[in-house]
Amino acid sequence: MGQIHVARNTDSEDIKLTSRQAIDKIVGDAEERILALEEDWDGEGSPAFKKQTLDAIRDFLFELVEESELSVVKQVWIVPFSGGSIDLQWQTEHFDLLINFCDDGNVTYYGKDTYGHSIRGDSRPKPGYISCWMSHASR
Amino acid sequence: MQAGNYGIEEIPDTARLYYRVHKNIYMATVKAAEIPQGKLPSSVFRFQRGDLSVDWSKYAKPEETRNRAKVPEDNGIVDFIASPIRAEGHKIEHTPEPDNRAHSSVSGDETAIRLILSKEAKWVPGLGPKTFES
Repeated sequence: MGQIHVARNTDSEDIKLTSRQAIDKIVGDAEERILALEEDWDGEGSPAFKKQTLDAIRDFLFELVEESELSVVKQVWIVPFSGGSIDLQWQTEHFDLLINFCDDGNVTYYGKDTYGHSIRGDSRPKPGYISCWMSHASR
Repeated sequence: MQAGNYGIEEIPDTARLYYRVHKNIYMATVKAAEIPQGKLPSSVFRFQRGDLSVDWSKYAKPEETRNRAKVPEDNGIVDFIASPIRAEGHKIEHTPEPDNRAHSSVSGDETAIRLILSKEAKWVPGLGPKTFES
C-alpha cells in the first residue's frame, strides 16, 4: 500500500492524503517514544517493543481513516502496555474504545457507546466495522 | 469461608476499591500519547495471573494500599466503585491474604475491565501523579 500519492486529481484524494499524513504523524510521534522504552521499562518484565507492532497499528489507522472522520480517528491515544503489546484507546464524548495489539499479531478489543451498545472481539476488527460503530455512536 | 486468618466476605456493589499505579507505567503511557492531565489510560491497569489486585476500603485506607508497595513514594492510588464493573458481568471478590485483609480481586474480560476502569477510576486526592511527577 503506497502511503502518499504525488499525483492528485481530486479534492477527495487531497483529503485522503492529508488524513494519512495526519495519522502518520500521530503514529510516528508515538513510535519514537514507545520504541525508546527498554526491556523491563515497567518494572514488570515487559520486553522492548517491536516496530512490527507499530506498523500494524499504522496500517489499521490508515484503513480506518479512509472510512472515518479524521477528527474522530485522531483522538486516539497510542500507549505502551505489558508484554510488548500496545493499546489504541479512544475516550470521546460519544464512545470509549480500546484495541490492544500484541507483538505476536493477536488483537483484542472492547468498546461501549453512550447508548449502552458494546462491541468486543479477539481478532483484528475490520476498520469498516469500527468506523460504522463510531459513526453510529456519534449520531 | 476462611482465607488465611480472615473470613471471605461479600463485597457490596457500593464498595470503594483502591488500586496502586506505579510511576514508571503512568509516566511512560502519558508521555507516549500526551494524555490530558487527570485522565487515566487503560494501560495503567495491570492484571497478574488473570486478575487485578485491589484493596477493599472496608479494611484499608488509600495510604495503606500505597505503603504496601516496595517503594511507596513511586506509586499513586486510584479508587473506583464496584458496581460499574459488576454491571458488565465481571467479578469482584474478597480474597484476603494473611498480611492484607483488604485484598480483593477483579476478574473477567481484561480488555473490557481496563476500559471501564480508565473511565471510572479517579486519583485519590493527595495520592495522584503530582506526588511523583515533581
